[in-house]
Amino acid sequence: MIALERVLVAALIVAGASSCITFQWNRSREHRDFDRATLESLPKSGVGLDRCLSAMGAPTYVWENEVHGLVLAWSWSDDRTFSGTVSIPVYRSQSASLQYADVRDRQHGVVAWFDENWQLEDWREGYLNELVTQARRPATLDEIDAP
Amino acid sequence: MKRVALLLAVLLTPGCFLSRTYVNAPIEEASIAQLRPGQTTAAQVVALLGAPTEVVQLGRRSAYRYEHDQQKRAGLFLIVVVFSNNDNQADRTWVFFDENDVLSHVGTTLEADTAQYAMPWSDLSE
Repeated sequence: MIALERVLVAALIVAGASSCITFQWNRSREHRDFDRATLESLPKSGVGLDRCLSAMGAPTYVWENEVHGLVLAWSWSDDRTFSGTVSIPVYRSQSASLQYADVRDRQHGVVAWFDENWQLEDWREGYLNELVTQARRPATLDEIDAP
Repeated sequence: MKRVALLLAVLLTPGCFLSRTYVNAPIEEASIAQLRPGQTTAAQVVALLGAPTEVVQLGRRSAYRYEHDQQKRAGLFLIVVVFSNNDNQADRTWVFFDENDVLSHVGTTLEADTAQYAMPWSDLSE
């Protein structure tokens, strides 16, 4: 009977603490990592856009590369976040809160660069924000027609 | 004892949810099969697939993106502990056009139906 009372007291304490303490475990997955063997079978250069598209599927992003070329990026993410929040009322309508979060992964992907004939020049795997450092505006007609 | 266990179970599981969100209509595999590189024009692609989600200028060439997303979310609230999972998968097609707006390349991935309801610890490899 004493054990039962302890369980009930513990349950009441936990229920009462729900407004000021919260622990969260979240997972967010976007798109799928592709087959490692497919990626490793892709030559670093000298193959056409068709071969890359049939091997890797539709890219997530497409950009211009140096006016006439092409950049494709395939990305995916699988983030797990553990977080805890403690909120304490300190004075009537005021409260203090403390939050800790641990994000383990970032958006991962493959970026492939193609020349003006849309032949593969290079591809690299890694974090997308490190591989593609800056986006550029589309080329103007003057830039396109420049020799 | 059974009543206490039931009471505790009710107290500890005050909330859970499942939700599903779609963005755009699914991409039909049969429609993609009708695209003919070297023959199909941009106007015919638009007549077949509708307005693209994105248009990208590639010098004098161009590419259109068609995308359908399916997001499945699941969550469980246990008083002070919250578990939630969000799985977002897509059907995506990129069509590339030459200087004359004739289709040159097509890339398609159809994975929207693989989105799953799960918990953070679930194996989502399948």
